[in-house]
Amino acid sequence: MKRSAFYKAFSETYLELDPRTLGFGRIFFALVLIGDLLRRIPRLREFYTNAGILPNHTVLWRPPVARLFSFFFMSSLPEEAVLWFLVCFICFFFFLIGWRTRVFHVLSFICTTSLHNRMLFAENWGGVAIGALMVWTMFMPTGRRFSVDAVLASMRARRHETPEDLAAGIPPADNTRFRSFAVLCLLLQISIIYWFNYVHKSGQTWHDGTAVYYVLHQERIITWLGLQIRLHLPYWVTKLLTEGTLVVEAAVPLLVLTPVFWRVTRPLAIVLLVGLHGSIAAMVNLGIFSAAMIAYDPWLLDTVHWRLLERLVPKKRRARVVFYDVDCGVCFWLARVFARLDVHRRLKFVSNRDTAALPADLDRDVLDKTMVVIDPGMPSRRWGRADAVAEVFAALPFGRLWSWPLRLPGINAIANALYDRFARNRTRISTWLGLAACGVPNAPRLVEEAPPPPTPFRSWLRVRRPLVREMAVAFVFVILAAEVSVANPSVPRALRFERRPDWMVAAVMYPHVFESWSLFSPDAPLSDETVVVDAVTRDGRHVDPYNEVGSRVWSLPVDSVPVRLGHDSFWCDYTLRIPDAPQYHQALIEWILRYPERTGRDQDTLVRFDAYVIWQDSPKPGAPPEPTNIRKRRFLHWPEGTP
Amino acid sequence: MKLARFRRWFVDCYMTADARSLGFGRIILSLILLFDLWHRARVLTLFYSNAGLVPNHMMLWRPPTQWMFSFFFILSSPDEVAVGMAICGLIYLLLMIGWRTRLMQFLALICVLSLHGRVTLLENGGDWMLGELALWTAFLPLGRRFSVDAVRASLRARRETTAAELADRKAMDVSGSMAVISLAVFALALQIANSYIFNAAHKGGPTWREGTAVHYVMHQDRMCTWLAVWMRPHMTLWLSRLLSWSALATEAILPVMLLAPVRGSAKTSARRIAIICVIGLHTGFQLFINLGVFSLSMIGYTPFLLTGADWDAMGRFAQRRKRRLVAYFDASCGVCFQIVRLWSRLDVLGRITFRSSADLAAPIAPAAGAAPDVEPKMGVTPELLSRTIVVVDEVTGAKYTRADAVAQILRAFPVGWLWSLPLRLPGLHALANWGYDVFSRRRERISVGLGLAACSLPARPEPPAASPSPGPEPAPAADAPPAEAQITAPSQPIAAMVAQAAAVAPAVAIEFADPPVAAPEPAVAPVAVVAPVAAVAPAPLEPAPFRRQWRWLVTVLREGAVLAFIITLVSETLFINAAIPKFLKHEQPLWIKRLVAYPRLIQAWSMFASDAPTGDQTMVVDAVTVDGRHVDPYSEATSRYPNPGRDEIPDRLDNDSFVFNYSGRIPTSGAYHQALTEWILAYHERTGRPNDRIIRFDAYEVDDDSPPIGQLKPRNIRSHIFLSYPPKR
Repeated sequence: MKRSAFYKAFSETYLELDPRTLGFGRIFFALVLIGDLLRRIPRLREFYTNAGILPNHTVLWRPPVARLFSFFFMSSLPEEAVLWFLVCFICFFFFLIGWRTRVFHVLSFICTTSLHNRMLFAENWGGVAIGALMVWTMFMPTGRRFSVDAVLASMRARRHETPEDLAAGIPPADNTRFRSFAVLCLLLQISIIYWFNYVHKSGQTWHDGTAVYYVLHQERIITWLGLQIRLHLPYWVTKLLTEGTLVVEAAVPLLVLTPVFWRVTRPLAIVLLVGLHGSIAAMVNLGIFSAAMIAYDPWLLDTVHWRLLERLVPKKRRARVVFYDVDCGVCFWLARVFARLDVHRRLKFVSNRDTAALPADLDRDVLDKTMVVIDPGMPSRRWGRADAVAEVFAALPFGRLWSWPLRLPGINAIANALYDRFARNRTRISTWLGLAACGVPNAPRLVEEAPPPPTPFRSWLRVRRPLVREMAVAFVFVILAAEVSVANPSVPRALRFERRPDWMVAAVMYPHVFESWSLFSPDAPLSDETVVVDAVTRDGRHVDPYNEVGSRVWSLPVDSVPVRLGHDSFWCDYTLRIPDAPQYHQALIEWILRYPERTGRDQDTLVRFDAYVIWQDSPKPGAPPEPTNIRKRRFLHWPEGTP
Repeated sequence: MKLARFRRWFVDCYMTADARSLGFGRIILSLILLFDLWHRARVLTLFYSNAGLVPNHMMLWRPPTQWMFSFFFILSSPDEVAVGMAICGLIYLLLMIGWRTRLMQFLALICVLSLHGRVTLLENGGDWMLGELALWTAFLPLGRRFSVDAVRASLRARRETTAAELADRKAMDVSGSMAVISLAVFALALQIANSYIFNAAHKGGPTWREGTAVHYVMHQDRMCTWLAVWMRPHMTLWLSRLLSWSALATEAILPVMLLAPVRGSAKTSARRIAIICVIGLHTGFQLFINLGVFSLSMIGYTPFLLTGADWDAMGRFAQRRKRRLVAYFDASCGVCFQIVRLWSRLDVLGRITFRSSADLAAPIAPAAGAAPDVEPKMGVTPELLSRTIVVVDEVTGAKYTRADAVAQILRAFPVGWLWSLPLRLPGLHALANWGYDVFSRRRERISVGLGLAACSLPARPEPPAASPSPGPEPAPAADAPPAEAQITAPSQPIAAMVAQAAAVAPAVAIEFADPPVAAPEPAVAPVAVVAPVAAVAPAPLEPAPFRRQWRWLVTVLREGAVLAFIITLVSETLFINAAIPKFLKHEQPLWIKRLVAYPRLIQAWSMFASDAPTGDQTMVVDAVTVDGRHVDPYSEATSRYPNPGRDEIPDRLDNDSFVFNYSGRIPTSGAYHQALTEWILAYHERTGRPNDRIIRFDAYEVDDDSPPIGQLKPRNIRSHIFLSYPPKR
């Protein structure tokens, strides 16, 4: 008995997730993926085509890691890259709405791996964080709730639903918690990220509280807000932020993995993490890193939190009764769909045949022209046409977002016109779709029969499918645990899996899920750097083709790192690495020399250029705010052989 | 009216294909694709990986064409490429058997274009023809016949419940009309005709006029076969003329046969001549010269030229064979009946009559031509059928059981000798019998596990029909058991299920107590199968209008795409072939250039034109190792001769088509010399011997003039260096 009680408690704490958490986590994650895709569009030409600074042939010739996969290596031309971007967007979108969720989850994983691996040289740990989250969530049924798949499954399960059934209400969705070892792996993943980030921050800047101060002196990543904080807020604020960072990173593993009061500590972890990463994103530009880390947070929600959220949602205030024309097939179909989207159960759908439910003062003929929505708390409040649709939308989750466009003055008129047109043609539309229409019974349609009960063989397979899944999770766990042990220097030698077989290394390399967590570790950077290209045009002008594309500041001459360079994360990481990557210098040279093609001006043809890396030491706290020890090194020169 | 008549005429002449031809063509196409894959897998490391002569980064850095597509560009190491090729192989296999045929057609097209697009430096006309065959057929329903999809559709549409219903083979054919009408059919004929027209038109040089072309081709040691080497001392002028001019004449007549504006029997005759000519011509080519997949690719078009009349003739010929079998099976075994349902669909020649144990009492008419005193049921008893299937040859009276019976059934199928062969081989035969016995002993359990009826146990229940429409309900089959006899607990132990069946469905139990002695009517046939519903599924309901319109839209888009590709074909033909008059040449718009480049819709047809090559060419490398030895790493990897030297081109180098294309093109492709240099210098890594490290080398192009007729030795052997390491100043 004690053992089963222990197992039950262990399972609830570490192995189970509410399906609503899975669905919400999926939606948030998909939005992050779409955001990551969109932010790459301005850099498509530079990093995804052969007209840029990282052509596919250069990366394949000298790959940054031995094993690399990306379907973007197939695309050389901008239009080819655009096509693959479109493919990625489609996959992410279907993953977001939860249509064929499993398939598009896997395809999204392939897409995101391809997007990151194509320009691995210019990527940061945000991509790795996304990859790790992808790996664990692929074992979970993220489409069980808040998805098109869930709505379709519900409609298929009650395919003979009648208006009376609809009026009585849809049975509540199945919120049986999902149980799997993958849930524990995800919790461990979150904890490992923060634990090692904390442990590795062992340098002086973290001890003496100056780390955030120095980070804010990184001109290549600082944002406008970060600059204001640096300029105007006192030093003790940054010291507080430094210590706060350490406290949060140290606390999160405990808050996530604690076996007691975890239903309180995990939401607390969410708040702390959103605060941490939100402030990081506000002050420094680390690309998708902050959003990727926040994408882990929804997976910490539990059933009790969803129940609390449900109690907080005001149901009665937006409760509505919807009267619709049941003889209209498409109207009934839409009512069925809305009933399933109405997770807060605010809507009651009543057909026009249910005369007893109709208000006495409601003209029956109105229902031939429009659906009518009534506030049950105040029956005099009624809406028709587009306003009725807006009211139905408003009752759904995030309803105001969907309904406010329909209420805007100009759009409301257009919506009403469209509604009237739809209402006049609803019979024809219903017939066209093969649904019943006003006195015409359902057009017979080629619909498959309800599936027969599963055969014993299928039942046997179904019982064993979770076992196969758990074995796969365990397999992946072993691979990534080995990677954690090797990639993090703070892991004791005795625990390191140093002699990994090649296939284990390949399994980590291909999807790029390196588990080395040491952001700004062991110390925050004490110096800053940038790259400047001093190119001379045919007519003698000095231009900087490099910073014209990637930076806020591109005027020459440059004697120190300019304030707030405004790099995006790709340009920032490329700038950091290119001086010491001679294998990619030829590609950079060719790109710089294509300057007149980009500007479209023939007089911009370059006759020579020098590329320099400029370093400077950040000013110490309390010292004058100017950087010191500014150094400059030329790392590239064209044409070779000239002084 | 005239337009409608013209349209009908054009459709009949050029746009109609038989579904059987498409199915058969699909199988042949898949086999050719598999051969092409195997051919390339042999040179995987050399030409598809970064350890070879054509690294992906080099091709992307200096692409032979501006627009390229291949997923093999993302694969760098040999094991990655092997995985890619394995995936292609799996897709080709699934295409061959016709599983999810439409999807596999599309994926196979992607695979073949990727395989070819990765090494465009090495491609030849055969690669183009194969890719174009895959492209045009991608628009055709190749899975309508001779496919797993067709069998599954038939099994779903018609759920027989008794052996008698299996006799109606026509009702099993639900694949629709045999005639397939599409622009893609026209495109196929146009494509193959196009290649012959211009191959013939361009062959205007002296060797073709004088008839010495075949002689000179046989002296191409980089591509000739052993038969050519044997043949050429015996080659005389008249023989060479005969072969050369007949090849020319065949190429000239083929377009006429393929594009003749005739219908009906004239079309059938013309196509038959074309098929014979194509197969003869390319078999001849393949016997004497190794052109990779070229000959097979051209032959791959021929199944699509077969007409319905050809299939009817083949069917009549097959029916002449007197082989007729009667197969007896255990009526109460659910899985047995399902297998029999499958076999009856594969028995396209109608050679097998299936009868269940319930039919033993019923007399059957002896087969036509059978000896009148043959008793097909002799020795066939229910006890025997409870242990094994029994097959009786109606003509000879021979009786077969167990694996032999299965082998006889398989032999009755098309190409049956191939399927049945493994079961008849000595060692495998015993294994097959053992396997059969194991299956036979467990068939109840298997049937129950699959939800089928088994020996007095009814099948798992079927759900009621779900359609809400007030359409006519299908009449229940007369032999269907009462609905309340159905049990819905398939996961229970068998014993419990038996007890339950006895308790709940006494009517069913009574049915099985005594096997019916005389059961001519299906009403007393035992419940041995899945569903107690009509043998024929309810008549298909009318699809919703939007679905009909959607299908129409898909058809229009598909034909529109075919038309766009046909326009591209015509434009490219006019643009690239020298025989086209100048006034027909034009500047191709960008979209056409892309439609040519990406799917390799190239139409430059001038094989051995304008002249057969009167000289031979090869490439050798003279490399010096660290210990002073002279080696030829290139010839070691690509030729029969590991170090042929540059004083002669030896007989029959045995290069495959990729190698001789590479040898022919690399001397003048400076952009790719760096990759060749790096590959040569990695020689010691390949051999594993440090002493093989190369310190310097020279790469030579070696040429000679082929001997005229009557002579054997090549003349005027010359060589020149096109690459050196270290580079010479």
